[in-house]
Amino acid sequence: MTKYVLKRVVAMILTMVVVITLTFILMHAIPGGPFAAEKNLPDEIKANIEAKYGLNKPLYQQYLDYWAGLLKGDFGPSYKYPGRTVNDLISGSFPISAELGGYAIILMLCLGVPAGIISALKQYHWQDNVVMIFATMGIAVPSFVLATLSIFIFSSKLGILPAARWLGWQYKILPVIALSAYNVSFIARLTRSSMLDIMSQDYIRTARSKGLSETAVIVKHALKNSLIPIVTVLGPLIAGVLTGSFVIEKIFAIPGLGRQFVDSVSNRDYTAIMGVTIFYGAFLVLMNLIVDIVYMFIDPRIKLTD
Amino acid sequence: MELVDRSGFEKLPKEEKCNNEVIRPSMTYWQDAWRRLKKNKMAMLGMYLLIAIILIAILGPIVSPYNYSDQSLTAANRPPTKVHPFGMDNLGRDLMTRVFYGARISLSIGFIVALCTIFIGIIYGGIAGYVGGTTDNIMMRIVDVLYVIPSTLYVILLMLIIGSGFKSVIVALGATSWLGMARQVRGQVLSLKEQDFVLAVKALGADSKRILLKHLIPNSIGQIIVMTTMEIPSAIFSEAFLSFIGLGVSAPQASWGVLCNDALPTLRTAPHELLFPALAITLTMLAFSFFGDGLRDALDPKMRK
Repeated sequence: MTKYVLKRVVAMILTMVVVITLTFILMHAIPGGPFAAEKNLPDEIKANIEAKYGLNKPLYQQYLDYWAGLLKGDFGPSYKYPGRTVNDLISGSFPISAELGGYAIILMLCLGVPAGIISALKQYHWQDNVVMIFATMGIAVPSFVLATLSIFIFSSKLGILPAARWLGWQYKILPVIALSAYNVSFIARLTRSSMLDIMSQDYIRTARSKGLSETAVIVKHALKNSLIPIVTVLGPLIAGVLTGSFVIEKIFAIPGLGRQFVDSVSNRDYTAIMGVTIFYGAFLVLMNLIVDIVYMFIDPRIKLTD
Repeated sequence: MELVDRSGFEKLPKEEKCNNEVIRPSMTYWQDAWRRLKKNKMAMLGMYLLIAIILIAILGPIVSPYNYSDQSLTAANRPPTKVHPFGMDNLGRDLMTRVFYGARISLSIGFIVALCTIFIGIIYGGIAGYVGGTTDNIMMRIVDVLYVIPSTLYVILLMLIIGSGFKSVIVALGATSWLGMARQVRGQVLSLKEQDFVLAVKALGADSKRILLKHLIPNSIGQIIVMTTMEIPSAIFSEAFLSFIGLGVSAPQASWGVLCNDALPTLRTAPHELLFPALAITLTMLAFSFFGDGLRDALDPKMRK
């Protein structure tokens, strides 16, 4: 057990080394350099700027310097906003994204799982049809279309919900729905198929033949096992919520990390892009580790010897 | 030893001879899959829809009387009329032609990226699964590491390096989307290579390349096709996503994602500019989703009766 966790932690550190190195290489392969957009810079000033940010050093030295900073938890200065560090950018915007993403994941579990269960228990009834129609639409409609359409309907036409920014609770309804629609649908479909699979297992028949009530069969025997596949897809789904927020935060003008990242990309703010990518990477790797450990606890079929 | 007396037997007429044979005609895997697919109404609907969309993508821009880049600024943002059924966009270009032309771009990206995915995925996964041992271990650890990070992040970084545009989108998406395919193919090859028919082929003297290309890959082709029908819409989605944050194909070319993005500033006054490209994406996604689900059920050998 401890061995398993240790092994995962080592794999996690290895993953982060690869992520950091790969991001560093990719960022330094971008043609032109960070200050190429500044027109007609005299050579002396250019040299000065490069010296200030350590860009005149050989690449391996820059790489080592970057590592030295990272180990101290320092992502370096922003190239676009003088005086601000990438840490400032991240710490200012990540809590907002975390709140948005957190709501989206809560909605995904609280709506998707029950919908899938109902759909499976009432297979081929109207409840099943309604859930499946919504779930199919949710997967087919891109989040940015859903977001813009909902702004058009609820803000422009009906005027009942605000179209942008992130202030009170009413500002949060549309973005959270738009961000989670795909995942709610995905979870509902997954829960449904997993539940249908479980309900046809022998041990469910055994439980029924013991004379248990249908409720007891479902709650005590079927439910727990049918939730296992959901835990396994949580990692990728969290990643989906993270990248999904790039678009949602842009549309709803939410000052979160996703929008920060998109802005950094259009501003070519090198250190910010690099820092945010690595931050996302670390966050996801950590989430995956947690999911793996949780998975180990709830599924007794997994052998711990490995 | 006594000879059996011939008179104890009689010849049966031809029709009665067949009585004990299996009545069901023998079917190849593909005939069987096609039979099952035809029974699935939603899958067939998806298939016809896909054929229609592909035909529109090929013929639409040719048949349309307008060019996708012709502007007439006086007619900008005009709502749908008889002459322009989808209305005009923000520069006074016929939106219907642009949506049809966008179908070309979006579908080409989907198909080409899916082809790249298959190509890289099969080679990578095939080698890892077939060679096994340390090679497999190293190759799959690399995939594991890359798999954790959402490919969107790397696609964005790659787009920054090679610049935006049609080809760049394909290169960036192709370079990052093969991981799932590689895992799937490896799994298939691993489970197939221990089977007796592979041993038989080996005994006949076939070399590794032949075993891999002629026996292992064709036997996993069903799975690969199903993965591909999932890969195409996801590539179309990713491209729309990239275009939406300003990194997709460049003007005057326009994918569906670009069209949606262009419609944003005038959403209040000209919602039709968002409606039609959004509808196009949604219909295509639905079609692929129905067809893909049906195909998965039809090609899954476990369902074979």
